[in-house]
Amino acid sequence: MEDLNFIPSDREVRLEPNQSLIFKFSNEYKLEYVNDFFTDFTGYEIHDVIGEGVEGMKHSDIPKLISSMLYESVENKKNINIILKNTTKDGRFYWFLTDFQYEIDEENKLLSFKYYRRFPSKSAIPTLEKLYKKLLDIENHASIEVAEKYLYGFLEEKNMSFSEYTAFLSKGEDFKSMVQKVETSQNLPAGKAGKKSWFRK
Amino acid sequence: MHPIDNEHLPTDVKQRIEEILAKHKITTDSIVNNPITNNFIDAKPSQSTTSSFVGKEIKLDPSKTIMSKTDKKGIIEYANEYFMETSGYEEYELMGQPHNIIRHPDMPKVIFKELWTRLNKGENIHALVKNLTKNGNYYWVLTSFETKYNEDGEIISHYARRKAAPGNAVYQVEKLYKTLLAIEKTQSVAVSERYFVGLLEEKGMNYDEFILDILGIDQNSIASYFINENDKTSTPKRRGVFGRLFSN
Repeated sequence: MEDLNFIPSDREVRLEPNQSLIFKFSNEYKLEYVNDFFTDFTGYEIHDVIGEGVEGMKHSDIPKLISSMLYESVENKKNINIILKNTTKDGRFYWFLTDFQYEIDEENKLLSFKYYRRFPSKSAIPTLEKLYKKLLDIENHASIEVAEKYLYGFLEEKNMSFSEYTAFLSKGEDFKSMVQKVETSQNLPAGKAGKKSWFRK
Repeated sequence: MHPIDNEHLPTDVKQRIEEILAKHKITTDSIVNNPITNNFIDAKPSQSTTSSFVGKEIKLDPSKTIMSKTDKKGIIEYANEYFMETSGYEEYELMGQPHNIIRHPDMPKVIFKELWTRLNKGENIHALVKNLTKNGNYYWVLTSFETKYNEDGEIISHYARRKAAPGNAVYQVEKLYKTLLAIEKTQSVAVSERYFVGLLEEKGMNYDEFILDILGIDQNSIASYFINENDKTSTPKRRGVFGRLFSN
Protein backbone atom coordinates (compact mmCIF):
# COMPACT_ATOMS: atom_id res chain seq x y z
CA MET A 1 0.00 0.00 0.00
CA GLU A 2 1.18 3.49 -0.75
CA ASP A 3 2.38 5.65 2.06
CA LEU A 4 0.01 8.60 2.11
CA ASN A 5 1.38 11.93 3.11
CA PHE A 6 0.94 11.41 6.80
CA ILE A 7 -0.47 14.39 8.68
CA PRO A 8 -1.82 13.76 12.19
CA SER A 9 -5.37 15.08 12.38
CA ASP A 10 -7.12 16.61 15.36
CA ARG A 11 -9.84 13.99 15.21
CA GLU A 12 -10.13 11.68 18.14
CA VAL A 13 -11.18 8.04 18.41
CA ARG A 14 -12.18 6.89 21.84
CA LEU A 15 -11.48 3.72 23.71
CA GLU A 16 -14.54 2.51 25.61
CA PRO A 17 -14.41 1.22 29.20
CA ASN A 18 -14.65 -2.42 28.12
CA GLN A 19 -12.01 -2.14 25.41
CA SER A 20 -8.26 -2.67 25.66
CA LEU A 21 -5.40 -2.98 23.24
CA ILE A 22 -3.14 -5.86 24.28
CA PHE A 23 0.49 -6.18 23.23
CA LYS A 24 2.76 -9.00 24.26
CA PHE A 25 6.49 -8.41 24.02
CA SER A 26 9.43 -10.79 24.25
CA ASN A 27 12.26 -10.25 26.75
CA GLU A 28 14.06 -8.50 23.89
CA TYR A 29 11.20 -6.03 23.52
CA LYS A 30 9.98 -7.51 20.22
CA LEU A 31 6.25 -7.53 19.68
CA GLU A 32 4.97 -11.13 19.65
CA TYR A 33 1.24 -10.71 19.87
CA VAL A 34 -1.48 -8.08 19.52
CA ASN A 35 -5.21 -8.63 19.96
CA ASP A 36 -7.66 -8.34 17.08
CA PHE A 37 -9.19 -5.27 18.60
CA PHE A 38 -5.91 -3.46 17.94
CA THR A 39 -6.50 -3.95 14.22
CA ASP A 40 -10.15 -2.87 14.43
CA PHE A 41 -9.32 0.18 16.45
CA THR A 42 -6.11 1.54 14.92
CA GLY A 43 -6.40 0.36 11.34
CA TYR A 44 -2.94 -1.24 11.44
CA GLU A 45 -2.64 -4.82 10.28
CA ILE A 46 -1.13 -7.34 12.65
CA HIS A 47 1.75 -7.94 10.23
CA ASP A 48 2.47 -4.18 10.27
CA VAL A 49 3.62 -4.40 13.85
CA ILE A 50 4.53 -8.00 14.76
CA GLY A 51 8.27 -8.35 15.24
CA GLU A 52 8.53 -4.59 15.47
CA GLY A 53 7.76 -2.13 18.21
CA VAL A 54 5.01 0.40 18.70
CA GLU A 55 7.36 3.35 18.11
CA GLY A 56 5.80 4.43 14.84
CA MET A 57 2.47 5.15 16.47
CA LYS A 58 3.83 7.80 18.81
CA HIS A 59 2.03 11.11 18.89
CA SER A 60 4.07 14.28 18.59
CA ASP A 61 2.19 15.90 21.50
CA ILE A 62 3.75 13.46 23.95
CA PRO A 63 7.02 14.76 25.42
CA LYS A 64 10.11 12.59 24.94
CA LEU A 65 10.54 12.61 28.71
CA ILE A 66 7.22 10.81 29.18
CA SER A 67 8.08 8.16 26.60
CA SER A 68 11.44 7.61 28.24
CA MET A 69 9.74 7.22 31.63
CA LEU A 70 7.73 4.43 30.11
CA TYR A 71 10.83 2.67 28.75
CA GLU A 72 12.60 3.10 32.04
CA SER A 73 9.72 1.43 33.88
CA VAL A 74 9.76 -1.48 31.45
CA GLU A 75 13.51 -1.88 31.88
CA ASN A 76 13.02 -1.99 35.62
CA LYS A 77 10.10 -4.41 35.24
CA LYS A 78 7.82 -1.98 37.01
CA ASN A 79 4.25 -1.21 36.21
CA ILE A 80 3.37 2.34 35.26
CA ASN A 81 -0.16 3.69 34.85
CA ILE A 82 -0.03 6.91 32.90
CA ILE A 83 -2.24 8.38 30.22
CA LEU A 84 -0.76 8.78 26.75
CA LYS A 85 -1.81 9.77 23.28
CA ASN A 86 -1.12 7.70 20.19
CA THR A 87 -1.98 7.77 16.51
CA THR A 88 -4.04 5.41 14.42
CA LYS A 89 -2.99 4.44 10.93
CA ASP A 90 -5.11 7.15 9.32
CA GLY A 91 -3.65 9.85 11.56
CA ARG A 92 -6.37 10.21 14.17
CA PHE A 93 -5.42 10.09 17.82
CA TYR A 94 -6.60 8.29 20.93
CA TRP A 95 -5.87 8.58 24.64
CA PHE A 96 -5.20 5.49 26.71
CA LEU A 97 -4.07 4.40 30.14
CA THR A 98 -0.94 2.25 30.23
CA ASP A 99 -0.74 -0.92 32.28
CA PHE A 100 2.09 -3.47 32.30
CA GLN A 101 2.39 -7.02 33.53
CA TYR A 102 5.68 -8.88 33.59
CA GLU A 103 6.40 -12.54 33.50
CA ILE A 104 9.57 -13.26 35.41
CA ASP A 105 11.45 -16.51 36.06
CA GLU A 106 12.78 -17.75 39.41
CA GLU A 107 15.99 -15.76 38.92
CA ASN A 108 14.00 -12.56 38.39
CA LYS A 109 14.81 -12.57 34.67
CA LEU A 110 12.23 -11.15 32.31
CA LEU A 111 10.51 -13.76 30.14
CA SER A 112 7.94 -11.54 28.51
CA PHE A 113 5.62 -8.70 29.32
CA LYS A 114 2.19 -7.49 28.38
CA TYR A 115 1.35 -3.92 27.66
CA TYR A 116 -2.32 -3.07 28.01
CA ARG A 117 -3.77 0.16 26.72
CA ARG A 118 -6.96 0.79 28.62
CA PHE A 119 -9.84 3.20 28.80
CA PRO A 120 -8.55 6.48 30.28
CA SER A 121 -10.56 8.67 32.60
CA LYS A 122 -11.79 11.66 30.62
CA SER A 123 -11.55 13.94 33.65
CA ALA A 124 -7.75 13.55 33.77
CA ILE A 125 -7.04 14.44 30.15
CA PRO A 126 -7.39 18.26 30.11
CA THR A 127 -4.93 18.62 33.02
CA LEU A 128 -2.47 16.16 31.53
CA GLU A 129 -2.71 17.84 28.14
CA LYS A 130 -1.60 21.12 29.73
CA LEU A 131 1.23 19.43 31.61
CA TYR A 132 2.46 17.63 28.47
CA LYS A 133 2.39 20.91 26.55
CA LYS A 134 4.52 22.56 29.23
CA LEU A 135 7.01 19.69 29.24
CA LEU A 136 7.19 19.68 25.46
CA ASP A 137 7.84 23.44 25.40
CA ILE A 138 10.58 23.06 28.01
CA GLU A 139 12.12 20.21 25.99
CA ASN A 140 12.10 22.35 22.87
CA HIS A 141 13.39 25.57 24.46
CA ALA A 142 15.77 24.05 26.99
CA SER A 143 16.34 20.29 27.14
CA ILE A 144 14.87 16.98 28.27
CA GLU A 145 16.99 17.27 31.42
CA VAL A 146 15.35 20.58 32.33
CA ALA A 147 11.91 19.09 31.60
CA GLU A 148 12.75 16.12 33.80
CA LYS A 149 13.73 18.41 36.67
CA TYR A 150 10.50 20.32 36.21
CA LEU A 151 8.41 17.15 36.32
CA TYR A 152 10.36 15.92 39.31
CA GLY A 153 9.69 19.18 41.19
CA PHE A 154 6.06 19.09 40.09
CA LEU A 155 5.52 15.56 41.44
CA GLU A 156 7.65 16.19 44.50
CA GLU A 157 5.42 19.12 45.40
CA LYS A 158 2.42 16.79 45.20
CA ASN A 159 4.35 13.96 46.82
CA MET A 160 3.13 11.51 44.21
CA SER A 161 4.62 9.30 41.55
CA PHE A 162 3.38 9.99 38.05
CA SER A 163 1.12 6.91 38.24
CA GLU A 164 -0.33 8.20 41.50
CA TYR A 165 -0.85 11.64 40.02
CA THR A 166 -2.66 10.09 37.03
CA ALA A 167 -4.87 8.10 39.43
CA PHE A 168 -5.47 11.25 41.45
CA LEU A 169 -6.63 13.10 38.33
CA SER A 170 -8.70 10.14 37.15
CA LYS A 171 -10.72 9.64 40.32
CA GLY A 172 -12.55 6.92 38.42
CA GLU A 173 -13.64 3.75 40.15
CA ASP A 174 -12.61 1.74 37.10
CA PHE A 175 -9.08 3.03 37.35
CA LYS A 176 -8.87 2.37 41.07
CA SER A 177 -10.09 -1.20 40.89
CA MET A 178 -7.85 -1.86 37.90
CA VAL A 179 -4.74 -0.52 39.64
CA GLN A 180 -5.58 -2.41 42.82
CA LYS A 181 -5.94 -5.60 40.83
CA VAL A 182 -2.54 -5.10 39.28
CA GLU A 183 -0.96 -4.27 42.62
CA THR A 184 -2.36 -7.45 44.13
CA SER A 185 -1.01 -9.54 41.31
CA GLN A 186 2.41 -7.90 41.67
CA ASN A 187 2.57 -9.04 45.27
CA LEU A 188 2.42 -12.68 44.19
CA PRO A 189 5.66 -14.66 44.06
CA ALA A 190 7.79 -14.09 40.97
CA GLY A 191 6.80 -16.13 37.97
CA LYS A 192 3.19 -16.51 38.98
CA ALA A 193 2.05 -12.93 38.72
CA GLY A 194 1.99 -12.78 34.95
CA LYS A 195 0.25 -16.09 34.51
CA LYS A 196 -2.39 -15.51 37.10
CA SER A 197 -3.41 -12.18 35.65
CA TRP A 198 -3.26 -13.62 32.14
CA PHE A 199 -6.03 -16.06 33.00
CA ARG A 200 -8.03 -13.42 34.67
CA LYS A 201 -8.41 -11.41 31.47
CA MET B 1 14.72 71.11 22.78
CA HIS B 2 17.62 68.96 21.78
CA PRO B 3 16.94 65.40 23.06
CA ILE B 4 20.34 64.83 24.53
CA ASP B 5 20.45 68.22 26.19
CA ASN B 6 17.78 67.07 28.64
CA GLU B 7 19.29 67.86 32.02
CA HIS B 8 17.46 64.96 33.66
CA LEU B 9 19.10 62.33 31.53
CA PRO B 10 22.08 60.52 33.04
CA THR B 11 25.33 60.64 31.06
CA ASP B 12 25.28 56.95 30.13
CA VAL B 13 21.76 57.29 28.72
CA LYS B 14 22.79 60.33 26.65
CA GLN B 15 25.74 58.42 25.33
CA ARG B 16 23.50 55.49 24.39
CA ILE B 17 21.06 57.79 22.58
CA GLU B 18 23.94 59.29 20.59
CA GLU B 19 25.09 55.80 19.64
CA ILE B 20 21.62 54.75 18.48
CA LEU B 21 21.10 57.95 16.52
CA ALA B 22 24.48 57.55 14.84
CA LYS B 23 23.82 53.90 14.05
CA HIS B 24 20.53 54.68 12.32
CA LYS B 25 21.89 57.89 10.77
CA ILE B 26 19.17 59.97 12.36
CA THR B 27 19.81 63.66 12.84
CA THR B 28 18.68 64.96 16.17
CA ASP B 29 16.70 67.77 14.54
CA SER B 30 14.49 65.30 12.70
CA ILE B 31 13.12 63.81 15.89
CA VAL B 32 12.47 66.97 17.84
CA ASN B 33 9.20 67.68 16.08
CA ASN B 34 8.03 64.07 16.24
CA PRO B 35 5.09 63.73 18.69
CA ILE B 36 6.24 60.31 19.92
CA THR B 37 9.82 61.27 20.65
CA ASN B 38 8.69 64.57 22.11
CA ASN B 39 6.99 62.64 24.90
CA PHE B 40 10.27 61.06 25.69
CA ILE B 41 12.26 64.23 25.44
CA ASP B 42 9.96 66.12 27.80
CA ALA B 43 9.84 63.26 30.27
CA LYS B 44 10.73 64.27 33.78
CA PRO B 45 12.18 61.69 36.14
CA SER B 46 9.65 60.04 38.43
CA GLN B 47 9.46 61.20 42.03
CA SER B 48 11.57 58.34 43.23
CA THR B 49 15.14 59.11 42.29
CA THR B 50 16.46 55.58 42.77
CA SER B 51 13.75 53.73 40.86
CA SER B 52 14.64 53.42 37.23
CA PHE B 53 11.71 51.09 36.64
CA VAL B 54 8.10 52.14 36.76
CA GLY B 55 5.61 49.33 36.88
CA LYS B 56 2.34 48.56 38.56
CA GLU B 57 2.19 46.67 41.81
CA ILE B 58 0.52 43.27 41.65
CA LYS B 59 -1.40 42.42 44.79
CA LEU B 60 -0.88 38.83 45.85
CA ASP B 61 -3.51 36.50 47.23
CA PRO B 62 -2.48 36.03 50.89
CA SER B 63 -3.81 32.46 50.92
CA LYS B 64 -1.51 31.37 48.11
CA THR B 65 2.16 30.43 48.12
CA ILE B 66 4.63 31.22 45.37
CA MET B 67 6.94 28.24 45.34
CA SER B 68 10.04 27.45 43.38
CA LYS B 69 12.85 24.98 43.53
CA THR B 70 16.37 25.73 42.36
CA ASP B 71 19.62 23.84 42.28
CA LYS B 72 22.39 24.95 44.65
CA LYS B 73 23.39 27.77 42.29
CA GLY B 74 19.90 29.22 41.92
CA ILE B 75 18.98 27.72 38.55
CA ILE B 76 15.20 27.23 38.46
CA GLU B 77 14.13 23.60 38.23
CA TYR B 78 10.48 23.93 39.16
CA ALA B 79 7.98 26.67 39.91
CA ASN B 80 4.37 26.23 40.94
CA GLU B 81 1.31 27.58 39.16
CA TYR B 82 1.00 30.67 41.32
CA PHE B 83 4.64 31.55 40.57
CA MET B 84 3.92 31.37 36.85
CA GLU B 85 0.67 33.30 37.17
CA THR B 86 2.32 36.09 39.17
CA SER B 87 5.53 36.40 37.21
CA GLY B 88 3.79 36.30 33.85
CA TYR B 89 6.26 33.85 32.36
CA GLU B 90 5.66 30.48 30.74
CA GLU B 91 7.39 27.42 32.15
CA TYR B 92 9.71 27.06 29.17
CA GLU B 93 10.96 30.62 29.67
CA LEU B 94 11.97 30.08 33.30
CA MET B 95 13.07 26.48 33.71
CA GLY B 96 16.85 26.15 33.51
CA GLN B 97 17.25 29.93 33.95
CA PRO B 98 18.90 31.69 36.91
CA HIS B 99 16.45 32.90 39.53
CA ASN B 100 17.60 36.49 39.26
CA ILE B 101 15.59 36.74 36.03
CA ILE B 102 12.77 38.02 38.29
CA ARG B 103 15.02 40.28 40.34
CA HIS B 104 13.76 43.85 40.47
CA PRO B 105 16.33 46.62 39.81
CA ASP B 106 15.08 48.41 42.94
CA MET B 107 16.44 45.61 45.11
CA PRO B 108 19.80 46.33 46.77
CA LYS B 109 22.41 43.64 46.10
CA VAL B 110 23.36 43.43 49.75
CA ILE B 111 20.05 41.68 50.53
CA PHE B 112 20.82 38.90 48.04
CA LYS B 113 24.36 38.71 49.32
CA GLU B 114 23.05 37.98 52.82
CA LEU B 115 20.40 35.66 51.38
CA TRP B 116 22.92 33.52 49.49
CA THR B 117 25.36 33.49 52.40
CA ARG B 118 22.57 31.95 54.46
CA LEU B 119 21.36 29.56 51.75
CA ASN B 120 24.87 28.27 51.11
CA LYS B 121 25.01 27.36 54.80
CA GLY B 122 21.59 25.71 54.54
CA GLU B 123 20.01 28.34 56.73
CA ASN B 124 16.58 29.85 56.26
CA ILE B 125 16.09 33.58 55.74
CA HIS B 126 12.94 35.65 55.79
CA ALA B 127 13.52 38.55 53.44
CA LEU B 128 11.19 41.15 52.02
CA VAL B 129 11.80 41.11 48.29
CA LYS B 130 10.46 43.13 45.39
CA ASN B 131 10.19 40.91 42.34
CA LEU B 132 9.88 41.84 38.70
CA THR B 133 7.25 40.36 36.40
CA LYS B 134 7.82 39.69 32.72
CA ASN B 135 6.06 42.88 31.64
CA GLY B 136 7.81 45.15 34.15
CA ASN B 137 5.30 45.09 37.00
CA TYR B 138 6.29 44.11 40.51
CA TYR B 139 5.12 42.31 43.61
CA TRP B 140 6.40 42.20 47.17
CA VAL B 141 6.98 38.89 48.93
CA LEU B 142 8.18 37.53 52.23
CA THR B 143 10.49 34.55 51.71
CA SER B 144 11.10 31.27 53.47
CA PHE B 145 13.65 28.66 52.40
CA GLU B 146 14.36 25.03 52.89
CA THR B 147 17.52 23.26 51.79
CA LYS B 148 17.79 19.68 50.60
CA TYR B 149 21.01 17.66 50.86
CA ASN B 150 22.25 14.49 49.21
CA GLU B 151 23.67 11.48 51.10
CA ASP B 152 27.10 13.13 51.27
CA GLY B 153 25.65 16.17 53.01
CA GLU B 154 26.06 18.41 49.96
CA ILE B 155 23.38 20.93 49.09
CA ILE B 156 21.40 19.81 46.05
CA SER B 157 18.39 22.11 46.06
CA HIS B 158 16.67 25.05 47.65
CA TYR B 159 12.93 25.26 48.04
CA ALA B 160 11.71 28.82 48.23
CA ARG B 161 8.24 29.68 49.45
CA ARG B 162 6.91 33.20 49.28
CA LYS B 163 3.85 34.83 50.70
CA ALA B 164 2.35 38.25 50.12
CA ALA B 165 4.40 40.76 52.10
CA PRO B 166 2.34 42.84 54.55
CA GLY B 167 1.89 46.38 53.26
CA ASN B 168 3.20 48.17 56.35
CA ALA B 169 6.36 46.03 56.33
CA VAL B 170 6.92 46.90 52.68
CA TYR B 171 6.49 50.57 53.43
CA GLN B 172 9.22 50.42 56.09
CA VAL B 173 11.66 48.33 54.14
CA GLU B 174 11.23 50.30 50.92
CA LYS B 175 12.90 53.34 52.47
CA LEU B 176 15.82 51.27 53.70
CA TYR B 177 16.23 49.58 50.31
CA LYS B 178 16.30 52.95 48.55
CA THR B 179 19.10 54.06 50.81
CA LEU B 180 21.04 50.83 50.37
CA LEU B 181 20.61 50.94 46.59
CA ALA B 182 21.75 54.56 46.42
CA ILE B 183 24.86 53.66 48.44
CA GLU B 184 25.54 50.72 46.11
CA LYS B 185 25.23 52.94 43.06
CA THR B 186 27.43 55.71 44.38
CA GLN B 187 29.80 53.58 46.47
CA SER B 188 29.73 49.79 46.58
CA VAL B 189 27.91 46.77 48.00
CA ALA B 190 30.54 46.53 50.75
CA VAL B 191 29.71 50.07 51.85
CA SER B 192 25.96 49.44 51.83
CA GLU B 193 26.55 46.30 53.87
CA ARG B 194 28.49 48.32 56.47
CA TYR B 195 25.66 50.84 56.55
CA PHE B 196 23.12 48.04 57.12
CA VAL B 197 25.29 46.55 59.89
CA GLY B 198 25.56 50.00 61.49
CA LEU B 199 21.79 50.39 61.37
CA LEU B 200 21.25 47.00 63.00
CA GLU B 201 23.85 47.85 65.66
CA GLU B 202 22.05 51.06 66.45
CA LYS B 203 18.77 49.17 66.80
CA GLY B 204 20.50 46.49 68.88
CA MET B 205 19.07 43.76 66.65
CA ASN B 206 20.35 41.09 64.32
CA TYR B 207 18.86 40.73 60.84
CA ASP B 208 16.20 38.20 61.89
CA GLU B 209 15.04 40.32 64.81
CA PHE B 210 14.95 43.34 62.52
CA ILE B 211 12.67 41.55 60.02
CA LEU B 212 10.36 40.26 62.76
CA ASP B 213 10.24 43.78 64.17
CA ILE B 214 9.26 45.21 60.80
CA LEU B 215 6.62 42.52 60.37
CA GLY B 216 5.44 43.09 63.93
CA ILE B 217 5.28 39.37 64.70
CA ASP B 218 7.27 36.83 66.71
CA GLN B 219 9.30 33.78 65.65
CA ASN B 220 6.40 31.32 66.06
CA SER B 221 3.98 33.41 64.03
CA ILE B 222 6.35 33.64 61.11
CA ALA B 223 6.61 29.85 60.96
CA SER B 224 2.84 29.49 60.89
CA TYR B 225 2.70 32.22 58.24
CA PHE B 226 4.13 29.71 55.79
CA ILE B 227 1.87 26.84 56.79
CA ASN B 228 -1.61 27.27 55.51
CA GLU B 229 -4.45 24.82 55.91
CA ASN B 230 -5.68 25.46 52.40
CA ASP B 231 -2.28 25.06 50.93
CA LYS B 232 -0.81 21.60 51.20
CA THR B 233 2.25 22.61 49.20
CA SER B 234 3.62 24.72 52.04
CA THR B 235 4.13 21.67 54.23
CA PRO B 236 7.47 20.08 53.46
CA LYS B 237 7.31 16.36 52.78
CA ARG B 238 10.27 14.11 53.23
CA ARG B 239 9.25 10.87 51.61
CA GLY B 240 11.68 9.42 49.08
CA VAL B 241 10.05 10.73 45.98
CA PHE B 242 12.85 10.14 43.55
CA GLY B 243 12.71 6.38 43.86
CA ARG B 244 8.99 6.53 43.36
CA LEU B 245 8.94 8.95 40.48
CA PHE B 246 9.10 6.33 37.80
CA SER B 247 7.09 3.66 39.54
CA ASN B 248 4.11 3.04 41.73
